[in-house]
Amino acid sequence: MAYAYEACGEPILSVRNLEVSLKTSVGELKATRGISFDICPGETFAIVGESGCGKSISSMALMGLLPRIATARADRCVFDGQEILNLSRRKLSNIRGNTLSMIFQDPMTSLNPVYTIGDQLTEVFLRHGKGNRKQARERAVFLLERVGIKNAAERLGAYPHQLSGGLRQRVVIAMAMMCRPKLIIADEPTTALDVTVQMRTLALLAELQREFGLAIILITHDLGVVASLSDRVAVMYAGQIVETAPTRQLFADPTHPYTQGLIQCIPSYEPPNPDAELHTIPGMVPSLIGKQRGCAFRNRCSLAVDACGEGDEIALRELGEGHAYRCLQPHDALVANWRLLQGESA
Amino acid sequence: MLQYFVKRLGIALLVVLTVSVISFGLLRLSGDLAQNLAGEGATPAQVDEIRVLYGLDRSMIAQYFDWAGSALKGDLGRSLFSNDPVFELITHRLPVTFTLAVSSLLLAICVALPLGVFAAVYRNSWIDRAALGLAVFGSAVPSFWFALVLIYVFGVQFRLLPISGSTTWAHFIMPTVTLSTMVMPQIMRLTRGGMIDALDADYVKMAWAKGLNPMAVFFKHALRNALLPVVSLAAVSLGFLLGGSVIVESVFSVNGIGSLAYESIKRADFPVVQSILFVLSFVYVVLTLLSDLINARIDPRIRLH
Repeated sequence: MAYAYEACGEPILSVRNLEVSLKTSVGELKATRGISFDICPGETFAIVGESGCGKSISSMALMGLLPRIATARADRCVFDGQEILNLSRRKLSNIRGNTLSMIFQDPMTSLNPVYTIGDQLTEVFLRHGKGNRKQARERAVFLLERVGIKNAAERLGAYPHQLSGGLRQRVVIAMAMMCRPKLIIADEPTTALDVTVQMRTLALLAELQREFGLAIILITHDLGVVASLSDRVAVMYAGQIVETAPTRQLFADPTHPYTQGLIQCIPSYEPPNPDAELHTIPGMVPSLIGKQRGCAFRNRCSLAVDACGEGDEIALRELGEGHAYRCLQPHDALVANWRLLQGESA
Repeated sequence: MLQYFVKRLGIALLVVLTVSVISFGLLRLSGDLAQNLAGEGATPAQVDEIRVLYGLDRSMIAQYFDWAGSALKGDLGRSLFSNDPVFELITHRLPVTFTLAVSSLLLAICVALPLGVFAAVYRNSWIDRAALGLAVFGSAVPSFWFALVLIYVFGVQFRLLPISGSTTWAHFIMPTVTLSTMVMPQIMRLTRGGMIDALDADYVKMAWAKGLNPMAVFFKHALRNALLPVVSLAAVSLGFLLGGSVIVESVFSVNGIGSLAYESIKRADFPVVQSILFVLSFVYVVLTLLSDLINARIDPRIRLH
């Protein structure tokens, strides 16, 4: 199966058929319908998709941070040799912030405004028994310097509101690194930042990853971010992974019609025709309430046939080298479609 | 921080000044003080004599500066009834009221904070409903009635506690419980509301993601952010308890400043009434200032404004 690009021995995280459902007043909402992937130590795995496709809620399920109305189940959800989905609260909290940590989207709100960043950095180190206060402080200073914050020792006494957004996100990154995690889940880590700061923050993450051998799950809606940072990608649509591939492969040979649409929507920097309109994918994301059948994308797809609406779900088709897609159309037809789209926009 | 303090102090002084002017004016508008002092059967000549004797014939402005001038020197005049210095009357009674008010507030906070926190954490659970029930009871039940029930049950039926006076600590138990029941509901509900907001905040999600234990998440990360309005309310409540415990003091015959105010108003002892108003408003302002400083201590963002 195309869960990992190449056999990496023991994956750091292995997920099979993760399903998250939400109880709402109008019925059960299936936020994800059987997500499966493996993450190898030291790699960056991007999950990309538009708002509401289930990418964030999957990561929340992995962290055990689902809202009360949500429940998660999976055939398998093994992190670092341990099943984590049904772990007791206490055992899960021993992993969180320790070997598995998280970077949230908005650094403006994810740091507690009433404590110094030094307090918030050392807290997680002390909680997981990594050493005494002095060692915690040294680690905090080391990491702050490493993420590019000058006068790190002085900055420990600063409050979050005294730092800019970019600096705060660096603090959040340093905080995620305090206990030498094996896997970091980064949920839209650059979305809330200025464009000028975004690339620098991504570059920093890539550097840290190489230096410390971390695995990263990068959750984003921005294919540009995917292209610049990730090794492998999963494209999600309406709660399903519709295509997964090594990043290069995905951009070279986008196969699923949704992936093709997404890539086409990236505005090019030098449009051949200045009057050309920006591309969009017509239609709306379907409601996820109630039982889902067939392909969720069929209503917006130009290649849809009647069979797309039949059966529980469309099977994943393998293309080799870790590339797989969830569509009834053969690869040739999809390649032809992509050429057609390319010709149209050229 | 110093700049913040100086600014607050300046505002506080202005408030004290304003209150003293208004209370002085209101007291003189409440009727002809000379007439009240002279009594019902007095002749106009006797009333005039009293007016001159107490300086009430002079202009209000002159009277105010006269009073304020000596008040600044610590001389609050003498009681018209007992001729005791007002300063002594107040300092004699204030500690009793102060003990009662502070212990009531502490009891209310000790109950309200944990209850508010757990009501927010376990929203819509039995804890939340029980806390709501207690809050409704506390705000709906009149204090004099609750006080009488306590006296009947613990004083008369079981004979566990003394029912009147203020000589031992046991005398303070029932008045404290009565007063704290009055201020507890608002503190509890405000804590609950603030906690509900804080628990949804990203920094609380982050605290969970760091693997912190629930008590650290609730009490360290969420509660401190929920506390700002609670501190302000607690200061106002303490002021209310200091000035508004008249009924409870009289039910339990506690000789506090509340009963002194009540007696003095009945006797038209205006120097005492005037001074009690002034002292209480002064205490109120000090409490507000204190709560501002505590809030600045809690939330670093306030210190900069």
